[in-house]
Amino acid sequence: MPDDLRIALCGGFVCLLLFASVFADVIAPFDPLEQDLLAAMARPMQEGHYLGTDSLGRDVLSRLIYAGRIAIAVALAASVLACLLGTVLGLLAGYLGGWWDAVISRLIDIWMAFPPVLLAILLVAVLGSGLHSVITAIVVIDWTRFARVVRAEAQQQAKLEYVEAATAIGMGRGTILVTEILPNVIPVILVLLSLEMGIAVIVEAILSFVGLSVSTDIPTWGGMIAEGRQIIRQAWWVLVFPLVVLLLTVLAFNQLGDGVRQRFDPMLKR
Amino acid sequence: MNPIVEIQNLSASSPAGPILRNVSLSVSAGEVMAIVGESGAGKSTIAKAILSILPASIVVTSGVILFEGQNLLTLPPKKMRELLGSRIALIPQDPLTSLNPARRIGEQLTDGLRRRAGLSRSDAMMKALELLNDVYIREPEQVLKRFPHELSGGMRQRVLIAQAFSLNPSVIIADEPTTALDVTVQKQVLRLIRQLQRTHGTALLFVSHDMGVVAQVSDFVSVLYGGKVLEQGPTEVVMRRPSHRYTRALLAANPRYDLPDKRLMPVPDDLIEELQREVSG
Amino acid sequence: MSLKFVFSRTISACITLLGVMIVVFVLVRVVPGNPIAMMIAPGASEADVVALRARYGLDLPIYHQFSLWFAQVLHGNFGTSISLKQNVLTIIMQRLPATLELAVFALCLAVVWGTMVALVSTALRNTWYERIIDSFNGMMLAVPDFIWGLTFVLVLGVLLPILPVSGRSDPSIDVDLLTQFYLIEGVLRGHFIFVWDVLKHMILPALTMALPLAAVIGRVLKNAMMDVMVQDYILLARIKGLSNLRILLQEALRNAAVPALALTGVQFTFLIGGTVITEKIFSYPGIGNLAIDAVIYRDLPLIQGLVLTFGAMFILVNMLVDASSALLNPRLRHA
Repeated sequence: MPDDLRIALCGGFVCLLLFASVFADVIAPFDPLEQDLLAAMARPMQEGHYLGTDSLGRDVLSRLIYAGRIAIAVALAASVLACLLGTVLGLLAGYLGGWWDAVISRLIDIWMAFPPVLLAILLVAVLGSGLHSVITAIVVIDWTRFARVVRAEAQQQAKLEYVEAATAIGMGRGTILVTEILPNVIPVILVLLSLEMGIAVIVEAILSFVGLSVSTDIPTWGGMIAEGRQIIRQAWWVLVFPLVVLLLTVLAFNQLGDGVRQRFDPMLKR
Repeated sequence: MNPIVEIQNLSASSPAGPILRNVSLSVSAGEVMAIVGESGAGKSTIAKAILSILPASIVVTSGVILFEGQNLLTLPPKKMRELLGSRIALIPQDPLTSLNPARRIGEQLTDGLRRRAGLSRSDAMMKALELLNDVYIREPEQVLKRFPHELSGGMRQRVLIAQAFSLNPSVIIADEPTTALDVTVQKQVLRLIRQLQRTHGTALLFVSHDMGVVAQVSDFVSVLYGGKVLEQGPTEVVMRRPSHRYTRALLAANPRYDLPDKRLMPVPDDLIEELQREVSG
Repeated sequence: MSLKFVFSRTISACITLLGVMIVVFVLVRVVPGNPIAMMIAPGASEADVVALRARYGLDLPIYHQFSLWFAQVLHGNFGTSISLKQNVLTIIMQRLPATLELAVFALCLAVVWGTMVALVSTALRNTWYERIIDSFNGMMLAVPDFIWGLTFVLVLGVLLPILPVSGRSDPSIDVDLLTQFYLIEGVLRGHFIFVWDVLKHMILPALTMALPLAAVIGRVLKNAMMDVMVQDYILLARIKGLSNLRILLQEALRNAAVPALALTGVQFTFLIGGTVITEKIFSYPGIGNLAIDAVIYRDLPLIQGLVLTFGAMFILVNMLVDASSALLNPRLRHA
């Protein structure tokens, strides 16, 4: 698929998601928390429930839309923060080298020795439930993704001649870091950012699947999936729709990053 | 003498223009035919055409390549594969990149012996030892177990030569086999190739850009320029009494280390113009 | 392989493991969220809380706690699980074989699948089949194990219920086993119906874990193969008359595997982490499943024991990958 089309399609989907999240109150046909036990586990397209209802009679579509808010919020906040933390540490390690590099690299190694999901669950269990802990958990697990790549880029850039030239004319290391190296690292960061959003959405889904995300009365895709898993034989739609939306969201973020990367770096080998 | 390989009126073209123009040459058993010319003259193309490894962009527009009577150009790929390695072999140009870095010498050397001649592993290894002896490699048992990066350039080329002769093919194509080697090693390798070729009675097509090398190793020579054969004949004759102006220029351009200092003579511009006209006419 | 190399890597691994343990230790004790709170029954008195803290040594300074625990671990004492009331080591040893069998199975699946994709795609290069295979593989790259697992449960467990989606084996099949290595012991003892049943239970969770890694291997190895196929020695192999299949497998694969392994090595360890959520989705009784519960119940000794186990597995896999790299690349062997 041509890159521009890919970027447009995926970007469009993300915008749609954003739109739905912001205007949830207006778009959602029902109150996501409203139970209607008489209409419990109704099939899709019945009584105005386009995507059916769950075991407590709550409208799946509305819950889906409201849960999207959580997903987007987490995606944006967590990825940006992880990016900041990882980039700063990566730049320090890659450009300054020496002691900085030794410590930060060892830190990264230790971090990567953890099963990421386990660490996330551990953190959220310890920090208590809530949006802030989910975001913190994701940032804490995945900053290494940015740090490693940024470190490698910074190391490469630092060896290039224009940096030598800058040092020669007496520019301070801090200045060089910000004005020379950072701009060249930004394209890589942007791609990773998109990838990270996809990952953040998944981690949040896993956490809410296990019941460790935001408080349980707020709808989340993961929570819906967990519930759907339980009643899968009676009401398959409760699992299917959030799963599909989750998949599409992750794919959209991934392909967006991929498309941007391919579009803006024609020299890349595939 | 019946020619083993006979190229008749071979023409080929690429998107950039004609590569070969009506080339005819042949080589018989026990003979060495050299194809000499500068870069881009089309020597490699002839070799690739015989071996059926022409890149997709080069198309043969006319002519035949007869090998023991069969036209290689129209041979089905399966039959061609049967010929390659056993009846037709190659001594490649770059010994460093032509050996698989991940496989031991012994294995690479005995590929043909085991797959084609159907020898058992141990029999093939015995034969491989003989082959390494033939190319004067010392401690052959050690070398069989080594990897290519552990050998010197000269040794690697000898291994490749041994490999080419291993199934006693009717014809071997040597594609500038000494170009990637040190000058000190070149002469030894050339002598080795000549010696083996005589012993086995193999027909040898020797591709080169170096007249000095050609003089040492070949019986016949075809001078190639712009895809066209300008002159052809027994090496002695062509070297002593070249009939084409280009051949003379080539000979003159070759630095002679055994003669007192003479100026290097590049091919003069007007000759090049004349050649362009002759070749495209 | 040089002994010095192995030695230094082992030391490095141990230091990393130590670091992991320190981080977990500190995390659970220092971060807000009283570990005691989850462990006591509601309505307990202040005295009970103090007693509980003393019992688990939580009133001691952190470094003291750590050294105590560390000394215990070196003696093989991992403490007692708060939620399960059993020796932690016993619990882990009971459920570890299930996860090990699953992880190894998944690893093998991933390598086989990924390699097949890369080989077939290379063999079909410059045809439109290649583009189809590569696109398909590319799409698979974006799908995380979590989604594979749920999709399998949905499609192959419910819509077309041909495979079981929970547990490790059918309880109605009665076999007498010494160890918890169902597959290995089952095969050795010839209980083939049992083994078949175990495999049926393992295939979906294993695929769930394997497919993301397989997609990565597929892409990276394919790229490496394409680089190799244009090399001179491949051309010479063709001129030697070797068949396309032989060239692909014997000449090219070995050379492509080296850079491919370097790039995918780290992904192998992610597979281990994947057991956590996969086992939960498929109710598979391994240590991954155990881990989630342990965290929810704030079962400190169990959490510590499990993190140590996972950390050790990670490091083991890393070492195996390094060893394979050295084995495949003859130039590294004599380093």
